[in-house]
Amino acid sequence: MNIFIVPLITIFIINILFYLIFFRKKPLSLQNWITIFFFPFILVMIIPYHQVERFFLNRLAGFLPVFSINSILVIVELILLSVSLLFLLKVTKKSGIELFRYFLLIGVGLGCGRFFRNVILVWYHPLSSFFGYGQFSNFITGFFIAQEILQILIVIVSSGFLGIGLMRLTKKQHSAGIMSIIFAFCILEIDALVQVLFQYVPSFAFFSAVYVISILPLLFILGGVFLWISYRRQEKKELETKKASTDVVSDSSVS
Amino acid sequence: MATETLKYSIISRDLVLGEMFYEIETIDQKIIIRSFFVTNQSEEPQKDIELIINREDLAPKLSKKWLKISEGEITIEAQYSQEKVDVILESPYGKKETSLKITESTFDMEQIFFLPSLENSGKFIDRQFPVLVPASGMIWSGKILKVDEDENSVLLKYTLAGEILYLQYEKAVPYRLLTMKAPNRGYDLILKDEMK
Repeated sequence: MNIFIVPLITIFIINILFYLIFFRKKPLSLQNWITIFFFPFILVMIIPYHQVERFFLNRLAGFLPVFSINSILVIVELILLSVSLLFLLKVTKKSGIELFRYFLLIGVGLGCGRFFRNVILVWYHPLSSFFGYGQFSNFITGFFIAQEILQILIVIVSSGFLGIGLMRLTKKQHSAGIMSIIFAFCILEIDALVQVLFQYVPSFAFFSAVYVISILPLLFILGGVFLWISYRRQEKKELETKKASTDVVSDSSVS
Repeated sequence: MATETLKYSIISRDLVLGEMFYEIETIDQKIIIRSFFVTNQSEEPQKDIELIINREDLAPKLSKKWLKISEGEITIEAQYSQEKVDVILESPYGKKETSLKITESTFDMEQIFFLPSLENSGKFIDRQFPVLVPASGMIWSGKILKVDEDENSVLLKYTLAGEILYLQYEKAVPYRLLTMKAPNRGYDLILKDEMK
């Protein structure tokens, strides 16, 4: 059982930090937190992700086919995020940009679920969890934990973009909404592409040396900055719309 | 008892990075294949694999691989019996063991390159077979397709776990591996000479 202590502590710390950063001022009940967090967490664990990967890798080989398999798996993750976001709307009574923090919480749930699934696979799979395009890992090391934490952060950013994108679509901001969804896809796809590149294209093999220390942090920082800009824009837009509608109401009451 | 040594150049982007040696020894009913390599950086030969195969049915008996990492050495050993294989992985991070069920036709990943010379039939047919990759403790489906041939050689495309290898063999006995091109690994092996 000791083997799960480090990953479980990591997931616990991530939740505490996330709560302190985003929910300290406007707290969320523990029951709602657990419901919103565990829905994507469980969802990503029950999808037979590795069996799907193995099925395809037994039939296809080479850079482009493996990259396509990878892209399919990214789309599967986005579908899981979308399902979780729809579930969120049923659980919480919030609407509009207020939901932003909850979109990120969905990302925390899915990212932590993915992390825990990988931990279980490292220990319960005969020898290693990763095969095919995944990074080779037989034991849970500090480096493995660091990589998983950075990947959780990337899933959080992607979930934020997806949430904003879907929200924009419901508000009939079609082009901005589609752009946000594309960003949500791109951030996961770039991570997937880098992994395939360093495994299948020898001239990019050096990526494996800088993947955890440079590529993942850079992806998170850039994605995070763009997400924050999108969030601020959407917030501003909603405030303007609210103000405009209040003005209309006050004008009509005066007349 | 007979021993044959094959020497290959390890080539990447037209640069010779080192040499790979395969020692094939036949003792009674066993074929033992050992490989080691030297790189331009170190003249000290490094152990790569040791493989023991049953001469009659070509079933693998034992496979051992050594890998050097910055923290030390990883050894992966696969001990085959009739219906199962025990894989033991030892590394600076710890030890792991597993047992897997196998079918009669399961090959070890390392023996595939020598299949034509071991079978000694001269038939380079398209086929699919289960292959154990000891490092991951998984059995994958290996596929061989004949893609080209000329007067002296045959070119096969071998795919395993998403990776592609191009293997060129002599068309005549002893069906030696002439070149191995690994586009996903970034290096090729080219037969240099044979020492007896």
